[in-house]
Amino acid sequence: MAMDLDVEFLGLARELVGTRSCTIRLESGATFRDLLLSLASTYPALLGKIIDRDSGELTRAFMLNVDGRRAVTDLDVPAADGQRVLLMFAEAGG
Amino acid sequence: MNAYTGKILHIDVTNRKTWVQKVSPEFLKRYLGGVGLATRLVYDNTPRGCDPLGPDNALCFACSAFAGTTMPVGTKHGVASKSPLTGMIGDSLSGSHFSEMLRRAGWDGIVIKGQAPSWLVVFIDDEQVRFLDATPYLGKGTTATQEAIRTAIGDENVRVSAIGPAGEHIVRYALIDNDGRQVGRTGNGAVMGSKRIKAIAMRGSHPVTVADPDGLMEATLKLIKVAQGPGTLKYRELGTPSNVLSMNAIGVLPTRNFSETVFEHAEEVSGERLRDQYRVKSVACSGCPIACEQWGAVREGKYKGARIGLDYEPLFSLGPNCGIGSMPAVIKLTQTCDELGIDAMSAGVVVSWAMECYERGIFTQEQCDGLDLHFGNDEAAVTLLEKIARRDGIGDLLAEGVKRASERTGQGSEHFAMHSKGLEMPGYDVRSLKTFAMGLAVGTRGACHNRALSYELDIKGKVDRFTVGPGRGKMAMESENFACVLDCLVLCKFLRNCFDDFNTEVAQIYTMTTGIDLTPEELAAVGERVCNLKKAFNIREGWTRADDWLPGRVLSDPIPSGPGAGVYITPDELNYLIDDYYQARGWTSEGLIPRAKLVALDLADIAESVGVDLSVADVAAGEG
Repeated sequence: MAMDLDVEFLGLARELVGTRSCTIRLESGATFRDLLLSLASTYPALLGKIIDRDSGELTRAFMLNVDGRRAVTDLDVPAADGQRVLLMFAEAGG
Repeated sequence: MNAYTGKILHIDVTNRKTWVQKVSPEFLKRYLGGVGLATRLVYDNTPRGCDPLGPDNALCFACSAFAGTTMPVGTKHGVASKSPLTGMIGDSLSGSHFSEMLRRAGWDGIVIKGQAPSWLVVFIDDEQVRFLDATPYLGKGTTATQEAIRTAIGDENVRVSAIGPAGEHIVRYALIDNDGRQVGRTGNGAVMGSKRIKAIAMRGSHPVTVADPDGLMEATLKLIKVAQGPGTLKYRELGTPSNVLSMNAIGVLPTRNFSETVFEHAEEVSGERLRDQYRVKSVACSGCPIACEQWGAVREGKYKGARIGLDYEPLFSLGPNCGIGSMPAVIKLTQTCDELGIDAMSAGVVVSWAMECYERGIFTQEQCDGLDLHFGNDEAAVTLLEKIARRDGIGDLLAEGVKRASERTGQGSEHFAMHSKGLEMPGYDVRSLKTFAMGLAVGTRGACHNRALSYELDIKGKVDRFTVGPGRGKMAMESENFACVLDCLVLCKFLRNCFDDFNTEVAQIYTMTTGIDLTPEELAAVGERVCNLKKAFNIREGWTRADDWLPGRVLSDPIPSGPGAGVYITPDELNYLIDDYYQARGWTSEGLIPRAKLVALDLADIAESVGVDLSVADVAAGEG
């Protein structure tokens, strides 16, 4: 059973991947860590500045948000079909 | 003494007298510089109950502890006075060269009082103070004023802090501009205008010595490297305008006077659009390796030729919050604010309030001097800003700020006058950022994101932003204290996440710079001390718990759509959070400061006059 996640790229992420959004298909039960692995595979430009090459985790400047409502604070939490995931800068100050 | 000079310059512009106050290393260590030192100078030199726009209000400048040294992102200065917008402490910061020049002229700070009989330029030329006729500069914009004064003095290295027409006309949210950076919030430009000071010119020739040049250079090089690392990537790549799409995506972008949280034209006014179509360069403050400010220029159309450095806050307030979805229009509006000398954050919120009054029929077109003030009308907004700056027609009402304007207008307009304590709100709809909502409510200078910093708790998911719960008060207090340390040092907040152990590393750098021993614990204590000092000032000027509150819209109108649909913060929730915050602070349930608390914070000299007779232990036990 597969699930689809809609990923929106904001800021530098959008510039690096060259698109505003994409749909990532993952196996049911996959986590946000799996999502990052898939993103890194689909968009290698994310590696380094946004996704750490060694750990596969986000670098300090970035975060994931689900459905515009909650920040992902644990990458090992399972994602769910149909979720809208934002890849955005972590710093909010203006 | 290293770095510091140990001298404060006092100027009375009524009779053109000056005198020098000597301050000890122990005194400087308690407040560091910037906002801390400026606040202390205001406390000591402004009499209780004085008119913020009268001669007794002390307009105080204080430079960074690091001013004039190699330390990066430390070339800022603090300015404070009793705010004409809030009637409480009005502290603000600006970047770039003025701080360094102040130190090189031989001063840690300046205190200006009085009211000149005619308009002046105060020219501080090392130890000498000259009073120049400002008549040739009246009516000029902020940039033109600075350039003209440099030309008149004949030295392009003179740094100038100037007000624009808005300051001359005592717009309550007028700013002071230096080098294109602004002492923006709380109306210090109006205070300067009330003293009939068009500008302060500064020339300094003294070297700045540091205690441990080799150690500081090593720390400097390390910090420059860190400042160009991932912790500041956002600021270097897109600057703060990148917030527009992020805040829109999570449903907190104030839209049409904070009535909505998602703007349908956010892409058009985003940092991404600015970079792709309008950016001309990135600009750094003096000595800063980050260069966060993104300059945009309009190359065609009705606003061709407009150009300005853009940050998120002017973008939100003059764009989505006014229903304006055009980047050229926002560039034009921001440039207009900066040149007229109006705080763009407050101005946008005032204009959006007027637009809502117009759409609701509270204001007629005739009352608006013929302007069609529908949301989205950028040309009307430009005209309105010019009217505000000169208090022309409806601009006279709007120059008072949204609190006073709504109180005079009535007809329910107070409900959507978006401010706390009179300071217009920043670019976050706090109905779904409940920890931050409390942070804005309790802020000593009013609704300020930079003083609270607690938006990070909600947005980064350290708490559930849609609910309230125990412990938020302590977390918000810690954010506020940390922000305050940065404002006192001064270090730019954009560096805040670049240290592994902030207090230890920065205390060492402070000691290498000044030669004054400072432990990590003592550094952290400055934040709590100065937060309490600001609160003590407000209490002295008549603050009560009722002042720690938010607009009716936040407390009763559910978010209409988007990720936060249906959410608002109830008065009970806000009261719960405020109680939690007061308890964390060790204050009474009415938000007053026990004398023992002030004594423990090394503020014994003010404890008798503003403290209440209750032990810290009583409060911590919940008996306050």
